[in-house]
Amino acid sequence: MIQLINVSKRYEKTGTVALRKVNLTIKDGEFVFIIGNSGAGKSTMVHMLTCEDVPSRGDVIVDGFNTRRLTRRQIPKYRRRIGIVFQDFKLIPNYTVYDNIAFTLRVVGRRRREIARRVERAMELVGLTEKADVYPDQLSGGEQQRVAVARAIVNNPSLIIADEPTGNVDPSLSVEIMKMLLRINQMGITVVVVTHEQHLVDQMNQRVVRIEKGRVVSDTSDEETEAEE
Amino acid sequence: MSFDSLWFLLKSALNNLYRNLLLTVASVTVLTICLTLLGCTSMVIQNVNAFVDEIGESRIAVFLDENMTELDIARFRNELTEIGNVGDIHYETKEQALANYLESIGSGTGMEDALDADTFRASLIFEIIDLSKYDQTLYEIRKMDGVGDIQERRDVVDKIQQVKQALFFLSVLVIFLFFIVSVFIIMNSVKLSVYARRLEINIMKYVGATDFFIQLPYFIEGMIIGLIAGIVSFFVQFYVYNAVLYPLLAELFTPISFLSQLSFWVPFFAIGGSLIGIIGSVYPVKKYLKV
Repeated sequence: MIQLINVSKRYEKTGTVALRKVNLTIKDGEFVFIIGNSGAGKSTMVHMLTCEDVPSRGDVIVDGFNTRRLTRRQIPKYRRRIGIVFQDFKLIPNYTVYDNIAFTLRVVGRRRREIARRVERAMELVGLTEKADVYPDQLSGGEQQRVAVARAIVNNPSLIIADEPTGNVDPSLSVEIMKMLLRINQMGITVVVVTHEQHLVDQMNQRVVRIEKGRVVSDTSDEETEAEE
Repeated sequence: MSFDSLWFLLKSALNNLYRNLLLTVASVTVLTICLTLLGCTSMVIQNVNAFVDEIGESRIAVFLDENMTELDIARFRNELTEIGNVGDIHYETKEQALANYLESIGSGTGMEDALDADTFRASLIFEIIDLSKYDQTLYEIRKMDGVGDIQERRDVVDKIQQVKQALFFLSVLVIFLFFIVSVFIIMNSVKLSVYARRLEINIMKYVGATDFFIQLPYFIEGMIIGLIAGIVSFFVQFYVYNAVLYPLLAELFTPISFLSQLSFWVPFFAIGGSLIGIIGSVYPVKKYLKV
């Protein structure tokens, strides 16, 4: 479960307030879109979840870990429970598809056999088994993002954070990427997608949290609860 | 850490070195020059130090009371040895002292008839081993029973001490300067390597690699550069010292043989080179770990 309790973030250097008393709960296995315009606070929220930054006030609790209380040594262990998909894919150009996915497991000290087994499965899930020996620059944007997704899921995370995953992908392939994330969510993994593409969100029929000027201004989950009542 | 992880780290380090081959060769070359200069300077300083010791007058003659028996002298000699910091003790009888004196002034002076052995006093002659404890040793000797007089050259000893001290500071300064230069060389090499792989480091941080795991290939990279430079420097210095420095120094005194110092120089280059490599690679990686 993810809980943001009264989270505020102020960047001391610039004086910018990126988040203001944000309260948000995401249950295990949920699929949530975080949407908002540029500068709304979406990236800051991602940074809070990935532990790149800590709140100025309030607490971010993910799977029982309070990110504010994590020591430098605990952060890697925390991050192994999270898979991150970036807008710019962040694939290593001189590594093959297989090596890019395996990289995640190699750097956390997994054994070769286990790596081979998990990478094969991840490639199967994203439909890239045939392209194991291909280099990123030989792939389309959509395929590159699928490699990035495979890399994010290969270590069996409990949470996937996708930061503008369709930002560098051909619009015709955006829905495909989203559907793939939905399939991953159906495996029981919590998925948080940060995006500004409203039209895409509208097609997916999932929970949507809207942020404006650092505040949560709407949450479809609350609306549903109210409607039920 | 599993064998697979170690293999992955070693492969990463070797890949880094191979990918930046030109830079690796340049770093090894400059570091080799630095280490060789450091080694040669150090060798010259050691030689000068030995030379100063060789010419230095740290000899002391303790003249004994005239009424001391042979047994007293033997006992005195034992006590002197127990004090420590004294070299081989040579006992000079009155007769030997006379003979030595006459030899020193040369024949035909007529002194042979004018002097007899009783004019001289028997003495114990020895060297002070550690000149830094010269005063303390002398103080202990003075307290001993049976000491008639002591002949010593404090002024020379003081000068030797000054020269040795200056040489010590010079060698520390030279080692420090070359160490800093060497660390900077490695630092620049690793910095470029880290910059080229910043994306990998970034991803490593996001997927939960520990800082130590991320740093390790660069430590290994720095260590390999340092170690190769250390090994090459050893052979370069061996050649430079034997072919150039030794013949030059041999004109002045008997220089120290390089081979007799192997037990120092082998670990010096191997450990020194590796250590410089590791130290030089700490900072460049740290900069990219703040994710």
